[in-house]
Amino acid sequence: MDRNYLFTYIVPLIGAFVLAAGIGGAVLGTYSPVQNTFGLCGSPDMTVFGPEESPQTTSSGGFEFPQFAYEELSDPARSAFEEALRSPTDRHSVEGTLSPDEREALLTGSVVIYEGTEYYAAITPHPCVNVTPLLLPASLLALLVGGVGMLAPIAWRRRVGRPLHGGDTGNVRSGLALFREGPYEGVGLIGSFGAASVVGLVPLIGPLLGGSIVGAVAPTTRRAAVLGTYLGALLTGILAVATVLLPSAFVFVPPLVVTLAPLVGPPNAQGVTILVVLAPLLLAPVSAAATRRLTRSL
Amino acid sequence: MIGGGVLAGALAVCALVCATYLARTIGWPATVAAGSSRQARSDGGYARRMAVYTGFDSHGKESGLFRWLTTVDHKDIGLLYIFFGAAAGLWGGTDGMMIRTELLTPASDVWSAGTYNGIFTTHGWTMLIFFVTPVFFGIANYFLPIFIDADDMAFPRLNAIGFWLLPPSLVMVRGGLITEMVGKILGLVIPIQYIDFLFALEPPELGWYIYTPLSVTATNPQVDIALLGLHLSGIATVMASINFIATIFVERSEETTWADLGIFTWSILVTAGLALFAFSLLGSVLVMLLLDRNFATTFFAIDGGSPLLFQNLFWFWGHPEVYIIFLPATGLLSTILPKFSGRKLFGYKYIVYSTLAIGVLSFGVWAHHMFTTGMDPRIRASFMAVSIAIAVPSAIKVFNWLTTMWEGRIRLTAPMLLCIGAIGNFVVGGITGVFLAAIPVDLVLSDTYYIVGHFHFIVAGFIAAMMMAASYYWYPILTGRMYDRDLARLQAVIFSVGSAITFGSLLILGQLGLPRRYASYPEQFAPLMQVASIGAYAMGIATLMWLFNMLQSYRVGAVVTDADVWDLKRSQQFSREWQWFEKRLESDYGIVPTAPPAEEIRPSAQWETPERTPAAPTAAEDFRSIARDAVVGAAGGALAVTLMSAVLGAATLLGFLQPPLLTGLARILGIEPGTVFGLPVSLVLGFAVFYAGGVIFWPTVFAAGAGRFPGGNRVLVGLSFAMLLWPGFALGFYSGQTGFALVAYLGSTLLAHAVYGATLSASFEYLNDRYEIASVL
Repeated sequence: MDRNYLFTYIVPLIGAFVLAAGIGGAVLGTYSPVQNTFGLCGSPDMTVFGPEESPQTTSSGGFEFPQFAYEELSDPARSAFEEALRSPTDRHSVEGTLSPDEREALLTGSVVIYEGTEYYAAITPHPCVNVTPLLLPASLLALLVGGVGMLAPIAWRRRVGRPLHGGDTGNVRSGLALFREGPYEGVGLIGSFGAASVVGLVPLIGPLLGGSIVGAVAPTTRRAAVLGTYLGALLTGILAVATVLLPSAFVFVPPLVVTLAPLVGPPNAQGVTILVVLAPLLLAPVSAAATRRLTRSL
Repeated sequence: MIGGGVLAGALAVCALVCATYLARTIGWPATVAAGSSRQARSDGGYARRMAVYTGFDSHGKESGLFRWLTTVDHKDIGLLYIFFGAAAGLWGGTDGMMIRTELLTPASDVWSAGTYNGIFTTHGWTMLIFFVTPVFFGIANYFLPIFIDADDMAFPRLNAIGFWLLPPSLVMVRGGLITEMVGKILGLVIPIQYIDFLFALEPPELGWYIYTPLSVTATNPQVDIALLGLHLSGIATVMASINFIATIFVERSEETTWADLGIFTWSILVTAGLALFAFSLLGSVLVMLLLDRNFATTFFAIDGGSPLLFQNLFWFWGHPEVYIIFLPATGLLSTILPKFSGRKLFGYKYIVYSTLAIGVLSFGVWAHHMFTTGMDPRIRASFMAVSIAIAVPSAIKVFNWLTTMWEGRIRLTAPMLLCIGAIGNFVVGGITGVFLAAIPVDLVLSDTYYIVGHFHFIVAGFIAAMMMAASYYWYPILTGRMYDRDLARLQAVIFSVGSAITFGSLLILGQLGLPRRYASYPEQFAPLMQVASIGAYAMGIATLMWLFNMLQSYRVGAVVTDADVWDLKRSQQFSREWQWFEKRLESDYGIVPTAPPAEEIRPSAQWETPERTPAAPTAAEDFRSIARDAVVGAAGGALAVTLMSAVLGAATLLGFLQPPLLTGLARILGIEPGTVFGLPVSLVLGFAVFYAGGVIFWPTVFAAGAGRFPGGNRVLVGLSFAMLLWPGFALGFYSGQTGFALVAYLGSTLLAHAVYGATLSASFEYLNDRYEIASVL
């Protein structure tokens, strides 16, 4: 077979499907341990229909729904019931454990009598992802093999001395110049600073991303660093105020650190909070300047 | 809630003050004195510098953001539509990936069931309304005035308004997700009670068809906002449609007659006509639904109204909407395919007629979406008839495309590969649609994954593929540069194969009876679901490759120095938009037009090898030739099928093969059991039909198509022909063998076919030489 054809089309084609086969497993394998840590599963959602909608559900099909007085419900079920009644979407998650009988009845759908009125209440389970431990390494291997296959054309072009881009030319148009020194300069800076201010609120990763966003469109590396410093100061200020208002804002960080790096051990909660609050001061300007420098050719 | 609003207002004011201060600090808006390299024009704007950044002279337009916000130029608005549609498509595509990720596992464990419902609802809305139509309207905005030699659209300002209604529509339709995400990020640092208003909206969980009574009783306020957003998008579409119709009727140059209109222009005209009627109705339906939800009217209520009325009205818009997004894609295919086939479009008139026919018929098929609702069987039957009838003009298009390619000078560029893949996907998607038009089939398959597979073959495998093909084909005009051709070809193949894997799997899942729209499903369907997800991820990878190619080529792609990028002058298909591009290159950059040597120009309708066309014979010669061919063919066929029968007979005696289909023919014809020559009459009759087929039918097919079958020499040609027949035979005569019996069955039938093919081919060759037959062999 013509080797040019092989490395330009056949190998990356197979690589693309190997890569695609690895994506699902890699996502599930990575998500599985994180999902529980962040509380993204396990709690069923309770939906409550008011007296107007309930009869449409409960009167059809000749099925006798279990009936409870509100007082008979467990504490988590009561709490979810009340929150769902208050919610504009008629739904709230059940925080806590339901007894097996209560869970069974609510899974089927039940009539709850609350202050003399009949409501229809039902829960929808949301189990956690549970995958075999081998899935993640196998999928990562597929991603690696597939990625190498997809990059084969670049290596081949380099080897035979062809331009890396099919239509390569010396006449390079700078995509980011439109924002850096072109007609969208101001819009780019203000827009990116605004976006970075929201994204940067996510602990630790946020300031890095936010700094990158600002740095990508900054006219020079020096300005990127200055803007990154402004951003870092703003984020630290917001996070400091937030910590005063919400002392428990970052309690989810220590267990996350334990999950991602079990050998490190559980970090001190107060130390983590201080780190999260102060980190933007350093991360945002460094990230902004580094991004500007690394993307100077774009 | 009020506290949250006050806080949000205070934050907004703070943000504004900070932004103003920041802007001043960094020196924006920049001035020439402040070091900016821009130069003001005496008539306003910064045209000269725009040329530096965009590569094109802006021809006196304003520069920067102001230009894009205020433009009424059809090309600019076309680009805005395309950017908007592409962004919406990527958003909707991300929804699709999230759906496929959830379906990797049988339980609804990745997202919650509610989130899954929300995703498939907004996926449908985003893709159908904010992705497909805007992209096609964008392409039409850019090129249609050029095609018909008009200065601009008929109503430029209406054109701009039509576009600018779309972004707020999209934000309204998808607002629940946006507010929820912002709420979750801000929730890290702001007490939830101050921002709980951000969680009041959630993506609606209704399905894109918003069936009543669920859509009336759903309390989520985002439903109302989304309905208003949909209504707004409908108004935008109607405005754009009026503009297209007026432009085509009124703005054509005198030289552009109806007969000169390109197929894409025709398809946009019909699409705009459909949209005009369909979206007006959608607007009414949405208002009625909003009234039911908020003002206690009972149009669609169970008591006093009719939920089925909603379905009728919705699908009276919904099915034409299918053709609103489908017809421009066929127009693109009919435009692009001939360019890389080296031939003019075959049957131009019939494609125009079929487009018009589809436009008319599309309003008469809506109730096939409601076959399971228990409507009057006589009405149901009439809709079945029209639904099947609409397949005819669609098939006309397919045959015309195939005939255009036949004997053409095929060039496998990325747009051509996408066209070929799209035709394949369209055939599968279209034929499964014909099955679904049949009431008995629909009753079984309704609400299963079969439906999802069917329409995704069209909307993704055909429509999205044609958008990508158009983006490659016109990329030089849009950017002045060339894309990476190798990457694009690879992308085209991955996308087409990925579509077939994904949606083919869904068709099988549907055939197996798996209902759609559930986040969880029984365990036994998991392997096929995972295959479908892998195919979808492959499509996602292909989409990212396309995006990378578009962006990277904009930066570093080879600058176009000859407007005839596709070598279209050679086949006399250097159409108007390319002529316009050539003039622009000449006027702006002084690039002199080129022309291929005169002897290389060949009329585009002419075949590549005219010398192969035989001279017309006289009637007598014709008859003698046909008779001689027939005798030789029958003789060769008789020899081949006799030897094949011997192999099959031996296999039958050995127990590898049972002839139930042969004997079954007599039962179908109602022939009484009996014996002939001591053998059962059913077996004799079946064998006679089989033998006659081997003597007459298959040799005729072989003779007609022998020049097309692969193979280095004639025996190999015969073998490859037989191998094409073998799977059908093996499937048809399969009688439940397993294990070794199955291997023996497959092997013996394979051998029988090899014998048949080789004998047929060899005997043809011998008899041709012996009797000097002028055969295609």
